[in-house]
Order: sequence, then C-alpha cells, then structure tokens
Amino acid sequence: MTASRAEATTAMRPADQPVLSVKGLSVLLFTETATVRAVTDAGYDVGRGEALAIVGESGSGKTVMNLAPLGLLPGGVRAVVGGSVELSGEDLAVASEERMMQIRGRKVGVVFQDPLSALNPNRRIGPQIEEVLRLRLGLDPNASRARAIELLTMVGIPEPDRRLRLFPHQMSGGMRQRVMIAIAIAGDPELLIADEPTTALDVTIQAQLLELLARLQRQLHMAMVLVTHDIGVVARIADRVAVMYAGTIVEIGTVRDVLKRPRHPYTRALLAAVPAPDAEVGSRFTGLTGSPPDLSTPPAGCAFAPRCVLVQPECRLDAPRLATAGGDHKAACWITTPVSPSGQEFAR
Amino acid sequence: MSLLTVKDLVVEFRDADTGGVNRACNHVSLDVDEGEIVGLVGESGCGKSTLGRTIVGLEHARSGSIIFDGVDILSLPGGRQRQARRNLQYIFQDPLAALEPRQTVGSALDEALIIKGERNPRARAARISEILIATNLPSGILTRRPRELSGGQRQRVCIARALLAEPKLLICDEPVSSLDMSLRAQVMNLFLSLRDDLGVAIILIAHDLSIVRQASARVNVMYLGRIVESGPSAELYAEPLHPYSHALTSAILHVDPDIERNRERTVLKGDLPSPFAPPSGCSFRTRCPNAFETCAELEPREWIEAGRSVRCHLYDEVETKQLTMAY
Repeated sequence: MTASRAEATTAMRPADQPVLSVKGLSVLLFTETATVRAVTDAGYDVGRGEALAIVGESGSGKTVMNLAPLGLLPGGVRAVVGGSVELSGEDLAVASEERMMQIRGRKVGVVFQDPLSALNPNRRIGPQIEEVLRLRLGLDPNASRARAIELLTMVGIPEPDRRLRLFPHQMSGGMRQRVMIAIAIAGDPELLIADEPTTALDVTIQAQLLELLARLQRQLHMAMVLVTHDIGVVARIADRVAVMYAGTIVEIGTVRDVLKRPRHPYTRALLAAVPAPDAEVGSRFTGLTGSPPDLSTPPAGCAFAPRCVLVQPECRLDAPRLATAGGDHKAACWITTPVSPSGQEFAR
Repeated sequence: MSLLTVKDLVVEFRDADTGGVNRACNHVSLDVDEGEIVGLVGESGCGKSTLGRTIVGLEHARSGSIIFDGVDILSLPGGRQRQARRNLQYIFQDPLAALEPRQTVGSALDEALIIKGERNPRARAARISEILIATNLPSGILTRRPRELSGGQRQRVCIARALLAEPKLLICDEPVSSLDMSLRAQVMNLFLSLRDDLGVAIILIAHDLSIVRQASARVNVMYLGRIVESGPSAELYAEPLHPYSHALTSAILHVDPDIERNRERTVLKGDLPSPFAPPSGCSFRTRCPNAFETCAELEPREWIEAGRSVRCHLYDEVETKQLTMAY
C-alpha cells in the first residue's frame, strides 16, 4: 500500500512543482555564550503527497532545519537564517511578516513533540480549536463549531462534541497530540511540519499516531516534513529521508536507497545501532564512540571524521559535499562517494 | 540461585483529593537469579518503576514480601531494612538529576566510599581508579563536574558510583532513554560486562523493547499493576502469549522499509485506562482484540509452564497446559 504510494508520487513529481523547496539554508543561532552554526548549506525539496523524514541525533540541527525555513523557531531564539525558501513557488525571503502569518496559518500546519506546551491549559479544547478556525479561516461561530467536530472525527477522537468541553489536562497524551494534529490540518494545509510527533508517547499510542499521520497525509495529499530520531519511524511512513550530522545533510535519498544501501559511514552507524530483532540475547550492542563536535567551533574537514571507521587523512582537510551515489541518492563522504577531479561525480 | 524473590507485592497510592486508590503493584511476584539480567517492560503507568522503587525502599509496600540475599526485608524494622538493602543500588533515568551539580566526579565517587566506611584515602583512590577502568571512563574526568560531561559519561559516572557500594543487584530505571541511539551501546555494553565480570544481577526497566530483548535473559511484561506475562526473552518476543505482549512486540519498528511496510501490525485501540478505576475482570480487556465475556467477569489466573507464565483467559481452555499462542 505504502510502496505503491511512493511509486505514484515519484512518477508524478517531475511535472509537479515542489511544495517546499529549500536551497543553501544556513542558520546561525546566538546563545548567551556562543554563536552556533546549527545548519550549514542544506537543501531539499518536498513534493505534494510526499513525506520527507529528517533523521539525526540531539544537536544535529534537524529540528532547526525543519522549523527555520518557515519562521517557526520559538520566540526568544535569536537566529540568522540564510538561503532561499520557496513554498509552492512563492519566495518566502521577500514575504512580509503579515504574509508569513497568513502562510503559517493556512498553507502550513505544525505538530510539535509536546502538545501540552502548545495548548492553553486554562481553556477548554473546543474554544481553542474554534478560535483558530475563526481567526485563520474566518468561519462564523456555528461553522467553526461544526468544523471542529469534523476535525476531531478526522483525527479519530471518539465522541467529539463531548471532548470539546474538556481541558487539555483531562486528556491523555495521545488524545492531546490528536487535537494538535486536528488544529494543524484545520486550514487544509499544503505542508505539514512535524517535529518528533510521537516521541513522548508510549509505543502502542505511537503506533496509533503513525497510522493517523500516514492516513491524513494520503487523504489530504499534503507534503510532510517529519523530524525524528527513530529510524523505524522513517522506514514506516517516509518516502525520502535526509540524514543530519553536525548541522549538515550527510545523506539524502529515497527511504529504500538510504536505509538499504547507506553510503555515509554515519548513516551506517545509526542503522547498526538499532538492535536487530533477531540479535542473540546477551550479545554486545553496536554504537559509536566519542560525541558530535561542538558547533560553536566547527572542525575543519569532515565533521564526522573523528568518529569515522573509514577516516583517511584527506577527510580532515576539506569538508565533503553531497555527491551522487546514483540518481537522487546523495552522500557527503570523500571515501564512499567521491567526486572526480573534473568535478564530475561518480559513485563506487 | 535466587538472589531476589518478590512475592505478592502490593503497593498503593491514594489520591489526596478524591480518596481514590491506585494499586500500582497488584500482587506482583518476580525472581532474579544471581548474575542474571531481567527485563521489565510496559507503558507509562503500568507500575514498572514503582516495583523497582519499592524493592530499593523508595516506596512503601502495603503487603507482600521482598527476599533479597536470603533476608526477608519487609519483616525487619526500618533501620535494619536499610542495612539489608546495602547491596542493592538504583540507577535513575536522568543522570544529571542524580548527580550534585557542583560536586566534581572525583569527590562524588570518594564520598560513596566514605559512606561505605572506607577510611584509608589511598585505598579509596585505588578503588576509584579500578572503577574508572571498569566503567570505561578516563581518569581526567575526576576533576570535572556533571555539566561538563556528555550524557553517556554522566550515566557511566552514576553507574561507577553505584558500583563502589559493591552491589549484588542493580535496578536500572530507563538507564539509556535519555541518551542518543549511538551512545546507548556504551552504557548497555557496560551492563553486560558488569554481569560477566563482577556477577552483578540487573533489573532493567525500560520502554525500549528491542534493547531489553537483547540484554535480558528473561522479560516480564506489566500492564496496570500486574505482570501479565514472563518468560525467556527470545521466546517471549518470537511468540508472545499475552495479547498485550503481542501488541507491544508488534509496535517494534523494523529499519528495513520493505519488511516494515509489508508486515502485519497489531495497533491497539484506545488509551490506558485510569489506574484509579481499572476495568473489572482482566484489566486489559478494554483494549484487547481477543476479549470475550469471561474477561469482564473474572480476573484471569496465572498459567505457568516450562519457564513461561501468562495471565489470560485464552489459556483457561488449553487442557494440556502447553502454552502456545492462543489467539
């Protein structure tokens, strides 16, 4: 079922303009003590009905890369965002703040990891959803009420008219995340931005929410960018995946290419770190030694070199750029995916 | 030989506002052999942390017994209970909260030995350098404070400190869930080495099912205060007997997209019921795809056979008592 969806979108894509197109994205974050290069020269496209996963570990820049292009970084974060971002062909760099508000309200839906921080604890669920519908879509009170009930039904909340009267704390974590998804899809968005949407939930609830996200994305034909640290989630619902390390995309391609034929040694290490379902009980776990570099003082050369099993002297001199490993599949590694001196990329 | 035997343990919490009672451990029994790693899995609110905390004395048991190293702990007066638990150590999920922020690693480790009664500073220094080697920490770490360490190093410092007490049993509550995937291996491999080299037994409480499977000889599955299934981990994961264990293992995602997208997956409906008002009969029945009338009427008894046990009415009719999957 999911495989045929992936094929359908691939076949459709060339003629179709991407919903989100990010090029040369760089993000500098200013903390109290340092300037951090959170994202360096990142680019990706997401098409209609396509799900792109961004995978990486804490501090890899995956969340910043997902939120910064649409101006979604939390208030209070001081940042400089460079590069070009187009949403359905519209250049967001020249969009006014008013236009950005419109875009964020209608064309883009957002689901965060922690719904409790995004919902007002002192107000019932109903008025919160209805307010969004009135402000964003200009619906009158009766229409917004009816639409709220319709949205809760779409996200699988039973007895929606009763639930609208509950406060956020009277709902379970899974229910609250469903409410957040309902709000995110309220404006019938072209793009859904999801930041670790199931991480805080128990496994059986995570399973429910993953099915829901995949179903809604298919039904509403949305583009989705999903940040996760869980490669299993990528395998389950994404079409394409970008692997982040130390603020750069080190590998990108279809889920099948990247997860079944990984090129970058970091992608390989991440995959190896997931315990195999048939691993011998009591056998040792596979992981990485060392820790990621401090992005306030980024290293010269490949950022992964100090932890890499394939490292060569040249890796410490220049940072590798993404080079093709065949078709859309790209990796940034001098050793596994070199670029020829003529500048023509080849794969080995 | 059995190092720890928990029998019929009941732990209850009372809601001060409503007077309602949450029976977080409902007649729980558990065995841990010397040098054995035993897993305890289940979702938030199932009682797995309460069970661990009660064993080390952080929660009060209402009834039941905890026999550790041959001593019936709960029958002793308070002061002697602490003495009887000196070979039991607890590792918390958040190492940063478990360490004193202004104290250097060296001072924290030294303090643990002083508490243990080691008066000789040279003996303490020698013991600390041994423990750094055992936990794979560099000696330079002694002058540093928790904030200056990586997450994996912090958790290994907590483990090093616990080891200085020379425990026979470590209870580890979500010891790697705050760590990134690539760093979990360091801590998990440390547990495996401690078991092999020092013979330390470990209760591993975690919601990451695949990590528990690989590390533990036996696994216990908890749901709303009950252990609903237990058995050797490879068998339990390959052929779960309880419908809840089946749903849990089915939730483990495969990293191969071709396998992940084509497998049959059981997705449970609904949420965990409130532990203050558990369903009648079998507490899992409200989410169970196999529930029938009896499940609402009677609490299932525990069926035991060949090292495996299950608490489920599906097995009431199995005459030979051969426990094979009944759904």
